Order: sequence, then structure tokens, then C-alpha cells
Amino acid sequence: MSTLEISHLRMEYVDAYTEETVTAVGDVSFTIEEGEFVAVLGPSGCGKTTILNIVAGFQKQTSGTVRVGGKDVTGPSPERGVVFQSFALFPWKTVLGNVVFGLRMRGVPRREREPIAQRYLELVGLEGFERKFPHELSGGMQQRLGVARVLANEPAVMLMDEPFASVDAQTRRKLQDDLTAIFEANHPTVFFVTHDIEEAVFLADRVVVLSTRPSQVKEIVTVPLERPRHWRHALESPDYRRAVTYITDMLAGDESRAIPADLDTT
Amino acid sequence: MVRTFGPFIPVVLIWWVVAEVGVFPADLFVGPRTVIAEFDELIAKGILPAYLSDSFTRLWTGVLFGLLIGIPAGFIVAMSRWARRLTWPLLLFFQAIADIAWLPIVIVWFGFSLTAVTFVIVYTIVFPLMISIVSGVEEVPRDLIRAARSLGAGRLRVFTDVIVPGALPAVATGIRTGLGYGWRALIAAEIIVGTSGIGFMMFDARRAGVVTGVFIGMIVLGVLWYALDALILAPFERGTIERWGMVRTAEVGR
Amino acid sequence: MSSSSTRPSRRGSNLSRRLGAAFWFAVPFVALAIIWVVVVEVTGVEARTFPQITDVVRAWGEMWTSGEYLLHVGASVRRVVLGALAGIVTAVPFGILLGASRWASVFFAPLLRFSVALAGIAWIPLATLWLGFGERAVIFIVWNATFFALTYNAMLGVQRIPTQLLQAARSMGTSRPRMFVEVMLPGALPSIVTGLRVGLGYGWRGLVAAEIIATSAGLGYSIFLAQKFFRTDVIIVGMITIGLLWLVTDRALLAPLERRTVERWGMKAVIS
Repeated sequence: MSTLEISHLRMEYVDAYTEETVTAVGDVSFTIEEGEFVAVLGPSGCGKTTILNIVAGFQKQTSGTVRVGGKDVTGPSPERGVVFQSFALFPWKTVLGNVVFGLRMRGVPRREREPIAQRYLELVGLEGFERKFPHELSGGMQQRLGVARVLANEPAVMLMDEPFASVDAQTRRKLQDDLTAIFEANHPTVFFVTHDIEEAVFLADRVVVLSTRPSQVKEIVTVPLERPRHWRHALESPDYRRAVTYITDMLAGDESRAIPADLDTT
Repeated sequence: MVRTFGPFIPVVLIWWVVAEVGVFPADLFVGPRTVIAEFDELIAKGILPAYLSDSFTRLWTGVLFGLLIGIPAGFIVAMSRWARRLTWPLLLFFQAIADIAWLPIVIVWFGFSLTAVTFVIVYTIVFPLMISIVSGVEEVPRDLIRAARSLGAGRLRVFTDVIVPGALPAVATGIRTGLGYGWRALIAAEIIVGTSGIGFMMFDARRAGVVTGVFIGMIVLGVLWYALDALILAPFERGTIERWGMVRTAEVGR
Repeated sequence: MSSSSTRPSRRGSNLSRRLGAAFWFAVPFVALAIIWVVVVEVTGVEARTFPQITDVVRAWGEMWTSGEYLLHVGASVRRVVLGALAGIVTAVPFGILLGASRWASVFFAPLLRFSVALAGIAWIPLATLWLGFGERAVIFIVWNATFFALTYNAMLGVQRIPTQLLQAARSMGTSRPRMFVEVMLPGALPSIVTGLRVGLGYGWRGLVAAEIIATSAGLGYSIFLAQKFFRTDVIIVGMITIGLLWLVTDRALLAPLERRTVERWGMKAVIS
């Protein structure tokens, strides 16, 4: 039984402005096994964030099934933790307060939850910042806090919605390196949405490539890179470049039909 | 400290000079010395403290009820889409009716009484507060609510742990606005209705042609509101909102 | 599988959306009116204490035909317009000048803050003493309320203009006078609009109070007079008028002003 099973997922909605029915997700199926890092890649507006929202339980699909650990998804749950592009950190809680939030919700007593939180803060490299407030941290640190907050709940799958889109290019590279290190140390199951081909190939074990709206799975590409991975090596690796080129060509035909970002209602 | 009181020194000096020189007629303008002397006398006779406490009691009674009604009502309306749809236009409309305009009808209902004044003050607080809370709750970023839910928070916890802290700046703003209208309504009510209180004191002095009393009343009011704002409201905002990096109103002059 | 099809007339759906919004806006009032009618009927409360809707409408009709209504509305509106215009004309340049100078703004801030704290109603006894009862005192109160709030906010607004913006203008050779008009005024506009809203809010309330106390015409005066004769129907006409006038000011004047300047330029005001 796979950790995450998506079967013939379809999502339609009515555009409030034009009052037409839009098909955001056409027919998407794939699975993610335990301990895998899977990137979901596609042009802007292809519905990849919609798929994430459905898996997270924030939206309901029109048809098709989503199963996590064999059970259907019915709403948000700590089993499917989410790392948001906007960070979504609670500004009135300290760094520590943010990380223990999920543990508090589950009723884990203070004695137990603080050591757990500490462990994950160390994992993401934020030890020493427990008493700070999110706005006192840099963008990169804030996102690492977002990751720690989710991992502290040990979810079945960690959903990441273009988490590095809001940080600058250098920080992004560092965060990708860090995320890879965290993944290789802990092996959570990761569902990572992005439109950045190089990011997807660097981070993931497999890349699910989506077509434009109404989206379908064009192909699932297995990344031939060995772990542990570092950007320095990836940039010089012919396997890496080949995979990126392959996917780039695959998507090139679709680029001209990509939907502009500001109409993207996923 | 110097920065706060510093600017007032030249003003007081200019005031003193203008009064001494006699630019304005004495029955319309008095200087600091006269004001201070009269001030001391009013304190010694216990008149000023009595008026002050009258005004205060009326204000805080109204404020208390206003908060007790406005905060829960605000959140209840904010959390229900139907309640919001049904009441929002009404809230806007009733907010638009200047609180003081309620005084005549309230006098018809309750006569010239404390109940009448309290009613008006409660009114001035409740509507800005509710409106502020409703828009504040709406503005809590959706991602924060989703984050909480995906961390296992049920509806109640989302309310207590996300919505309430998230809307806190709006609550502070609403209270500040409401209080600003509230004490003004009080003064007007005391002038129109009153038998005691600072507003009454000022108008009474005016009636007697004693401008000193008017000056004292205004200075006392200004100092009190300034103190309230600087010693209670602003620190509260600093302690919560600014500390959390959610500055909503850095410094809106009101 | 293509998702685009012929678009329905956009104008048509826009109109229906607006009608829908207007409908939903009216529903609560209709509901309120119904509740009003029913409650008065059922409880049989005397007209003196709480009139029926029909009484209010009738009173309004009478006031309208006698010309009384327009007289009072006209007086109030005139005073607000005069006071507010005077306030804007005096406060905005003054506030911007203060804001332009670092030391002036730091120095005057507490003073202005104090004045805003006092603005409007608290000046009524003094205003009637200096200017006597009547028109001038009322307009003074409106001016007073708008002046201080606008000056303070204009000053803050100029202070908040990003330094880089001012530096850019200066490095393009902008003279001092032009800085005021071309950079500081638009830059401070969000705060100025906020100040206008706050000032008018206090000014409007000050107007009603001042009219009750100090004049013999105007909406405030008319509801106070009505109270003496227990004409609650007239009072309610006055109250509704006051409410509508402010709603019109806020929605039809201030909000569009904000939209056409602040929002159109993508400058979000610091929320008040």
C-alpha cells in the first residue's frame, strides 16, 4: 500500500468572473511510496497547487480519489502537513511556539513536546532562536521554521507548495541543499510542488510532469542522481543536465499555452 | 520624557506672554497663572475631583458594557457568513448615525439620567468595535487558518489560537476608535443633559462668562486622553501587535 | 480538451452581479423595517415613545413640504462643507511643511497629538464664548476637528515616504517647492485620506453636538427641538438623515477618492 495514492483526480470549478466551468485538473493519477521525495512539476496554472490543496484537504475534488495510508482524504489533518509558500507562521508565537503547535493540538504534554521541538529545530538549524518571533527571522529561516513545524508532527506525507518561491535565489539554493540534507537524514515522504525544473530534478527521486490545464500526467521521470546530493556536484553532473534538458524539451511545447499567473486560481 | 513634554514648554511660554500682554480681552483669554490658581482652588474645594469622577464613572460604565456587548457580538458576526451578510449593512448604517444624534430620543426614553448617557456611550463603542472586529477577522490570512488545520487544530482551537490573536490588532483599533467617539459623546451629553461632570463644568463656566473654567476643562480632557492613549492603549499595542511584527496602525492620529 | 468557449457578455454578468450585491445590501434593511412594523403593532407602544414607520414617513413628508427639511439639511451640509474645506486648505499645506522638516515634526508631534485628542466637541464651550452662538461657532468646530486630524496625519504621511523616493526626486533636480507638490503631497495622500476620514468623523459629530447647543437651524437643532415636544417621529427622520448623509460622504466621496488615488497608485494606506 502506497503512502499516497491519487487516482483519476479531476477538479472543475466555476470562474466567478466569466461564469464558465473551468477544468483545473483533468485526469491525474500517481502514487508516492514511503520515504520518497516526489516533485510535481508543471507550467503556471496547470493546477498543481490545486492538487496539493486537495491532498491537504483544503479543497474537495470533483471526482477521483485521494488516499493516504489507505484512507480517503476528508479534510486537513496533521497526517498531511503543509509547508506554505507564504510561510504562514503564527506571528504571535515564538519560534518554539510555532514548532510545538501541532504537538499541543494533539495533547502532547509540555514535558514531552519541548524536547521533540528542540530536536527538529536543531535539524533545520534554528537552535538558539527559540524565543524569537517569526518577523525577526530572515526569509530563509522562516521557511526552515515552517518545515520544522510540519516535521515535528511526523506526518505521513509532507506537502510543500512552492515553498522557496518567496526567497531570493541564493537563499533558495541554500534551502534546497538544506532540505535535501534533512530529507536524507530523516526520510519523510515529500510531495513537492514547483514550476522550477532545475529545482525539481535536484530535490526529487521522481518528478511527475504535468501538462497545462486541464492537466494530466505527461510522464513520471525517475531522477538518475545518486544520494547524498549537493548543488556543487549536481551542476557538474551530466546525468543532472540530461534530466533537466529532457524535461525542459517535454514542457517546451506547452510553454506557449501556459496560463498567466494572475489568472491562476489554483 | 523630554521629547513628550518638551514641545509644550514653548507653547506655555507663548501662552503666558500672550496673556500678560493682553492681546485678547481678559474675559475671553486667561494666562497660565490664572489657570493654575483656579485649578488649585477647584482641587482644594473638591469640585474638580468630584466632576472628574462623575465623568469617569459614566464613561467607564459605558465602556465596560460596550466591550461586553461589542466583542462577543463582533466575533459572533465575524464567524458566521450569514450573520455577516445580514448585519454588515446595518452595522455600517448605524455606525453612520452620529452617536450624539441618539441623545434626544434617548432622553425621551430615559429622561435626563445616567441610563441615557450610558446608552449613548455604549452605542459609540459597540459599532466601531464590531465593524473593526468583523473586518479584522476577515483579514486573518487564509494560509494561517489552513496551517493550523493541517497541524491538527479543530474549529474551536482555530478560533482561539488563530482568529482571536490574528484579529487582536483590529480589536485594539476598534476600542481606540470607540473610545475616541465615546468620551466626545460624553462631553456633549454632559453639556446638554448634565448636572455634573467635566463637560458640564466647562459649559457652566462659559455660561458664567468665566473662561478659566473652560480652559481648565479642556486641558484636563486633553491630558487625560493623551495619558490614556500613551500609558494604556499604545503600550498594549506595542506589547502585542508590534512585538509580533503585525503593525496595523503605526501611528494614526486620532 | 479545451476549456475555453465563447464568453458570455461580460457586461451582462457584471450588471447582474451588481444588482445581486445591491439586493443583498437592501435585504437587512427590509428585514429591519418589517421587524419595526411588527414589534410596534404587537407591543402597542405609544407613538410618543416609538413611532410606527408610517408616522415617520408622514413626518418626513410634512417637513419636506413645509420646506423645513431642506432648510435643516442645507444648513448642516453647508456648515460641514465650509468647515471641512477650510480645514483641508489650512491643514494639508501646513502638515506637509511640518512633515518635510525632521526637527519640526519631532517637535510638534506630541503637541498635535494632544490637539487631535481634544479636537471637535471639547471646543464647543470655548467656541461659543469666543464666537457667540450661531453659525460661526459651528463651522469653527468642524474646522477644528478636521484641521488637527489632517495636519497630524499629513505630517505623519510625509514622514513615512520612503527616503529613497525623496532621494530619487532630489537627484533628478527637483526644486524644493516642486518636491512639496509633486512628491510629498501624493506620497502622503494615503495618510491624508485617513486624516480626512478621522477629521470628518469627529467634525460631523461635533457639528451635531454644536447644532444642539448653539444654533437654531440644522439637523442637530431640529432633533433637539423635537425632543422637547416628544416628537419622536421627527427625531427619527433627523437621525436617519444624519446617518444617510454620513454614509453618502463616506461611500460616495471618501471611498472613491481613496480608490482613484491611493488604490489606483497601488499604495495601501496604513490601515486605520
